[in-house]
Amino acid sequence: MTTNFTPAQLVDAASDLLARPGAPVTAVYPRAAALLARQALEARVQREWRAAEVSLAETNMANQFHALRQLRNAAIAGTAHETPRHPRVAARQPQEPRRAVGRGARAARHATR
Amino acid sequence: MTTGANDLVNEVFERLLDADAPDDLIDAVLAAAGGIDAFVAWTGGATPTRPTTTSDDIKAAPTGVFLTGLRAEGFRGIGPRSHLTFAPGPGLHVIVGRNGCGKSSFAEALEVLLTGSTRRFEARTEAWREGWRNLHHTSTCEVQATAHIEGQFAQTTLTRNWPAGATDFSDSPTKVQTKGQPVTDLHAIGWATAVRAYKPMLCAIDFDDVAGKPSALHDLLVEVLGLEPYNEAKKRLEQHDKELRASIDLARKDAASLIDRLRKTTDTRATACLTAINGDKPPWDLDTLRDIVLGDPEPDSDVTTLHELRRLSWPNPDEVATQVAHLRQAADALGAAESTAAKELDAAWRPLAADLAAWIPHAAAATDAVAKQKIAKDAVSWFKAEIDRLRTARFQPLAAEAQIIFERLSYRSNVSLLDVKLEGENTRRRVGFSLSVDDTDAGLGVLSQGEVNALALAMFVPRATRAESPFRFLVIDDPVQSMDPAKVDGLAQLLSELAKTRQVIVLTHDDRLPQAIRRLGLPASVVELTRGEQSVVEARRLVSPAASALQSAKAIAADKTIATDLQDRIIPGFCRMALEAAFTDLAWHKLLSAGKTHAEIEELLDDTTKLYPRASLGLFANDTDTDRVLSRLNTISSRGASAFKACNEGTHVGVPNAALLIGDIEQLIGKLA
Repeated sequence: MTTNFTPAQLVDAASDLLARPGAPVTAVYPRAAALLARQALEARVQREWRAAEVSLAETNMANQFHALRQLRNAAIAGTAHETPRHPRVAARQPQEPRRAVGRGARAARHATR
Repeated sequence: MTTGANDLVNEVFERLLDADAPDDLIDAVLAAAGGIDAFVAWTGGATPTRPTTTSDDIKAAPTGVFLTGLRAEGFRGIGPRSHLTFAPGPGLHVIVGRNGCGKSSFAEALEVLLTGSTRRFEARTEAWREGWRNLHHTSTCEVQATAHIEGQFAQTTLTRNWPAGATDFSDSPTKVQTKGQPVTDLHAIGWATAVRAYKPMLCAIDFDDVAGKPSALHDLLVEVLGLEPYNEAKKRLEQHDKELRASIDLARKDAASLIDRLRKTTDTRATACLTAINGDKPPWDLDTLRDIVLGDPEPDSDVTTLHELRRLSWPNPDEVATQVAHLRQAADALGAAESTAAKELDAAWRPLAADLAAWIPHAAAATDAVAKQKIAKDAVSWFKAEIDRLRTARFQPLAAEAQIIFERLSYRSNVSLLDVKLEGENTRRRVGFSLSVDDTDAGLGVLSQGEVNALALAMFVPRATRAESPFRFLVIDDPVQSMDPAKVDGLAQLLSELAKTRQVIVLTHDDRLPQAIRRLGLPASVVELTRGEQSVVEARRLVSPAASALQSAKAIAADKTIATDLQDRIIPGFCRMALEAAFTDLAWHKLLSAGKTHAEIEELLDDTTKLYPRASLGLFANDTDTDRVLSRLNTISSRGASAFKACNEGTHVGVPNAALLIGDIEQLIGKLA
């Protein structure tokens, strides 16, 4: 078993890595910080759904993020969606979002109606 | 942006229709755009066929080419056969090595294969040029590049070889062959033109273009704008205009001479001819002229009178016996006078009439040419305006891109590139750079050598990465020279950015570039070249994108200042990155060999961000066989499947004793490669 860090602890650990003297000139610490920050975000979103009336915590993370905007805090959800995209993907014509499939997706769609 | 005859005809036709151009201008422009045969037919009176499709209908995406290897033997600094290999697909490949280790020889080998020569050769003296063969390896000399052309199942090789003792470098042309197909050449596959327009190689000597002959850089950049077919069509029309003008000028010159002669002639027909010609400028009344010169003489002319007098019948000699001798004498005198006058008049008229008759067809052609010349001139003006418009429109994005690149490479520099323009014409053509230093306008002279190199790169990259170029690779020889550390970081980031969609191969003697790549954690493959005795050149892989991610994982594991439970959270993420990089490389190999296009592969990779589909792509060339991934990994490496699963899940929640995972992933990736 790995240690069960809270999201806040993971964010603190990420901040600590970024504050290290070597961080601005080496990619290892910033990347490690990004990995921890991602885990913090995922853990926080999962906790959000565990506490919610509509539990989506067992569905995949993409579904949990999709439903976040409609069911929880739109501003926070917007920030969570602002992930950097590959330039080639960004340059592509706007497309219909790929429709998530599976039990979790159906639950998410149902929950957002 | 090369444009074939059909493309050009379609492009210009759309523009002419948009401008509501008159029919005769449309015909002239289409004929000139359609190539020499269509043009000759039009000048002969044929009407060019109007296209029924638009340029968008027929434009096909250019075929993409990735390099898979470079090989050289007995060439320049390389003795026995030595080779470099590259994963066919986007990615950054850095070849490092000391000066004289053979790096530039590989770059030159590729340049020689693609262009027939190298700019470095051409710039040197004869004595230097003779040294293209390796001194230690005098048997055979060969350079070869292998490439994967989009849509081809087999690789394509470009080869030049010279037997022992051959001294003439130009003796061996580049042979191009795709396995199972006949040998061909660069022209046949369309690369000879594409290399000129989008030259995918930037060598040390090319860096001097920015500060070199003003017209040279201008010509390099104009070539990429795809205006050559427009210029050729314009030249055809200009030549036609010139020929028409010559025909008109000749007819006018002859007219002036004939008018002069007609004025000196007392013959009444000459007066009539002068009225018909009426000056040396067309139009002339050629029908009347033809009637006068070739038709019957006029009834009241002097010659007619004399002819009638000559035919008179005389009275009976009995009735005018005494007058006979007298009259006979008078008649004889009159006959002699009539004959002499008629002869004199005819003698003056006949050669003039002959010359007038000979002139009439030329005059008719010249009259016709006047109308044609107006159409040709209008068409030339149309092409001039269109070339100017396209030059500006097509150069603008290149200039904007160059500014962005220069900005990125000029980090912490006080020099800004404000604008780049193509200026002047003919002998005054040049590329105009607007620079400023601390907000004050400045010329190129203010640039340091490092900034000149940055500017050269900024001008090279947009040209070499045009979507219309078939080459999906860039080869840059020694871009780091004279750059300060901040610029090297900017360069490493720029190259990494380019490597997301292009295969970028950089050769450098300067350790600072691989150091910056490692420090910034940029995915790259780093190969070291060493040159031993007898010019033996060896390549050794130092880093790959997968190895780079594993290095990061190892660095975290070795960092005692990071608690072990945090390490367990971080390391799986780095291991997953390593796996993703390894499967991406594999996917490019497999999908290219399966005949997928570059766009299809890129789209597949963009859409498979999750590890299982990405692994499926790498292992089975499709993203749907995710159920077979673990069993296949177990056949590749004993702990492959469990390590793969641990990375995938551990990225989100960590893995106990994650440091142990690194060895398993390293082993798996080693076997995958």
